[in-house]
Amino acid sequence: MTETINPRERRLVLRLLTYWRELAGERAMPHPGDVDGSRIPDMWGHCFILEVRGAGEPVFGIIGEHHAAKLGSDLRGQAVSAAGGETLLGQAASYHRQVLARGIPITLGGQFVNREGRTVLYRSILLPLGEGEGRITALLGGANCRELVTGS
Amino acid sequence: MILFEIHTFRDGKWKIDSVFDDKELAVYEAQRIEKGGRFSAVRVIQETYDEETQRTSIRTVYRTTKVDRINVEGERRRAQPLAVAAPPKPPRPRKHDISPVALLLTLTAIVLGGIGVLYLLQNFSGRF
Repeated sequence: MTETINPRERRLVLRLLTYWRELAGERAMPHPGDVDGSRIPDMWGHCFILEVRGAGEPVFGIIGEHHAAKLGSDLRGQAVSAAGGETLLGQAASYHRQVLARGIPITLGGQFVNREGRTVLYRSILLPLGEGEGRITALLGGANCRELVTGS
Repeated sequence: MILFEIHTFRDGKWKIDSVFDDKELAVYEAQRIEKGGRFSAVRVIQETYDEETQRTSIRTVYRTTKVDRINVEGERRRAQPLAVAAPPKPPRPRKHDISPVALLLTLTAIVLGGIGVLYLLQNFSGRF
């Protein structure tokens, strides 16, 4: 039985998880080449891909336009830590070690203070991509957020 | 720290499917997986890590199986009002029903008839 993305499901992390399951099928995880941003145009801008190169820190391979606009600089090819904890991308990629260790999707949310000093609520997901059973070569991430309005 | 793991059951073993930090989201996703029909059971395990004691406690916060679903549907059917059910039909008499009295009388008649025939044969056979 195949799963399809429910158009009524608005939560990015669940929709991206459904897409990932659809790509994986009976495999433990999809291949990085299976990910096609044109199939998920409404989500793709909130997504990013981390490339796993050996035991070192993963590097940004693809950064969605929403994240790129917030960063103000192109972090492609740079390590995860370059994003910083005051950005949504940095928060969303911060638990990559847990996903690499467990080989399963993990979704976390929380809040942080951004560069402008505003408190931001966010929810994110990291999904393993790989070749064969268990060998992770990349991570597909997705995250969205909203600023906490002062006085609300 | 509290995390919620979704576990799926297939081919006789449990497998960790995904991890959430939000119970509502985890249970919602577990229900979606269950509806997909690929797994015979789905459960959500809450993992609580105590940083002071460095110990992790776990408990099941959600669990559903196909057996559970069938049982729930059965209970729902049993709970429906009896008036809805058609009245039971009276038992139809069987074609070959014979009362014990009639059977006894028939046997008695056969035995007496046999004795009578033997009596006649013994006493009157020489006269013919």
